Amino acid sequence: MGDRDGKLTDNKDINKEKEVVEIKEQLMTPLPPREIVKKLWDIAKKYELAIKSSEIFPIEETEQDRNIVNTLFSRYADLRTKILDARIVLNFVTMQRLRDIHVISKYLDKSEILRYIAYQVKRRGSPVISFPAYGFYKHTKLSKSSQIISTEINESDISEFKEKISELLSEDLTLSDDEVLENQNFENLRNSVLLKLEHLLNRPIAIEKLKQILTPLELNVLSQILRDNLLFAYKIGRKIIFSKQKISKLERGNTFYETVVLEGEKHDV
Amino acid sequence: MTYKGDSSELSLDEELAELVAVLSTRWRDENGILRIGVDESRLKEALGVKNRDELSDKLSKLQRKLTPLGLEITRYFFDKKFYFCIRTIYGVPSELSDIEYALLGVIIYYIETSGSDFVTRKQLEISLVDGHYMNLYQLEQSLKTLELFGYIVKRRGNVAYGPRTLIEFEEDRRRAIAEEVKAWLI
Repeated sequence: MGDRDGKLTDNKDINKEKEVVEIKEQLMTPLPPREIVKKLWDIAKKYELAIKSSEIFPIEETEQDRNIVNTLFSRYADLRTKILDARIVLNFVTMQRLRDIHVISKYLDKSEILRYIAYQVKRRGSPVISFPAYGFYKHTKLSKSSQIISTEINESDISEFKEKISELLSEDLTLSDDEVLENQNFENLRNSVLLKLEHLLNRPIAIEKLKQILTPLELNVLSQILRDNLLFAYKIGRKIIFSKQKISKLERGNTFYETVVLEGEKHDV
Repeated sequence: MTYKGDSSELSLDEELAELVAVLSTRWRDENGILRIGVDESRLKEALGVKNRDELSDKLSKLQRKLTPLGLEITRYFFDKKFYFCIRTIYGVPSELSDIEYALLGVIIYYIETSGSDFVTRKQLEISLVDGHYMNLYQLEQSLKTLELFGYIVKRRGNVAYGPRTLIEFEEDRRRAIAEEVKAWLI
């Protein structure tokens, strides 16, 4: 068996040598320029197709093709042949690279291959940058730049400012409970909220709509109204029903408490 | 504090500062897809400009200020709209791990060579999970991270480029990556 294999290899080598001699003889005979371009073109296509389908040729075959290209190029070199020659040389380089990778990858772990691919991707990226500006949906009118008023401060102003601050800090700044109630006029505020919601009772309204109807302060008061059971609220999806009566368990089904946080958009007038 | 200088210069600087903030914004649309920067029509509206020439004039003023910082303004096309954003000229610490970068490379390879604008999850599974490069869990997690950072978008089980891949990897770079992946993996 071993002898038979040896004979086969010998035959193959003899055939190859014959081929090389034939090609060399062919090359020695003068060829018309058209034939030279055709031969070069055939080699270029052969390698391009092989690279496309990741087919790897043995080194001997590439070496043989390289010899042909060298001989033909030295005999006939116009611009077209030069371009074709460059194209073939590039293919030779790519083929050599593929051959190297094919050999190296046999000895590499899969994770190492992934790491190498990651490096190739990473080095080709130009990362995008971001300042903390998440959720920037509504842009201001950029063309309307705000005015900055310049202020000049001198030493005497600073000492005056320090004096005022120390005076303020020496005063008792805490407000009594009566004052707080008087300032906010809580009862009036509660009535105005109830009045605003009067025509919206017993029908579903969008939760978001509340932001447009009530001011931030009134939204706070509404929370307290609900807590004190002056009104009852039932949430269905993104809608809410306000009612003066408590809806029975049977009507409302399985209910649970849910906190809805709203930031008021409407400003106090 | 005092400010001494030309008032027109001041307003321009303010406008440019706002432009940097807007161009470097990241936000999510109603489908939860990450968007980077601002689309052309909204930018024109915000700047009060009518045509692309006026817009590019304003942006080139900003570009002159950004270049010394190693930043550049770039325009990309995503989801039927042109967007403007800022990216770095130099490499910076990345947000992705090696395995996520490698997966992105494989996605780029499939999309660049197939001629379609997506790759199926099955294709990724066959080449990476069946090829024992990573397990299914790693693949799923890496896809989630890539989607979170806006590198890919998932559409009916398929994977397509997200805005960030389009910004960070231009066409010629994507083709070079595809060549590398093909040589090493496929």
